Amino acid sequence: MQITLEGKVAIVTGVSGDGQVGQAVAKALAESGAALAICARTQRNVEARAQELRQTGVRDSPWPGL
Amino acid sequence: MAGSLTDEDQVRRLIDDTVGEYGRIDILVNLAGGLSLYKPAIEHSLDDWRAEVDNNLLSAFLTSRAAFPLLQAAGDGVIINFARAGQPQANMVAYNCAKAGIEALTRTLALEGRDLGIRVNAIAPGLVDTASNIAAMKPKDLKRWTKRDDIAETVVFLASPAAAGITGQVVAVTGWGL
Repeated sequence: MQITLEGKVAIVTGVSGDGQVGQAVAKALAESGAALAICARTQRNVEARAQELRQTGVRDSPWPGL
Repeated sequence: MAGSLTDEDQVRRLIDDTVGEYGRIDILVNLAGGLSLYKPAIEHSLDDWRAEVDNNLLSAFLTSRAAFPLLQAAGDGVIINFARAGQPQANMVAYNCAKAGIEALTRTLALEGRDLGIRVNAIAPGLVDTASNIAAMKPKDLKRWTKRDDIAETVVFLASPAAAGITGQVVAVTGWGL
């Protein structure tokens, strides 16, 4: 079965620092086609991770609730 | 969104705002948490215990509770929690107990979700090659560490229809660190 998450909406909590698990999870979900809402304890981390995801060219911009 | 997932109101806002933005929620990945205390059990204050258990267990309960009706409405909802691989280790009593609680939470929600079309599983990572772990432990090599990208791919699999037959399970992802 070809795995796709097109049309799915995912919330990922704990998307925090650079080089942490959340960054990898959010990227993999986005690359699989899911639209994302990501959250973390600090706004700076959320914005940084969202910006990275947008630069990977995912179709749905990850929404960090700015 | 930035905020504390141990606060009911902030969790509610996360769920409401996500629905406001996208109209639905299909997948909830409860990754927030982590080990923040390393000391003997008798040195854990009440506040230490509460903070560690709340960050690792209460947060997942609150987000799951708030998301459950939306995951049901989505028709094929998925929750993925994060436990830990292996046996409890010394000097992290609250963390160990919280992660054991995550397994119980996973099983309980899976049972309660089976008639609602909601699958609930947990990933139990080994020692992960995160930037912070590598900086703290300075390993000679990473041969027996878990790759964070392998964890990410397991999340995608469990979130997808390919894992339609899997619920209530704790999946260890350890790489060669088994």
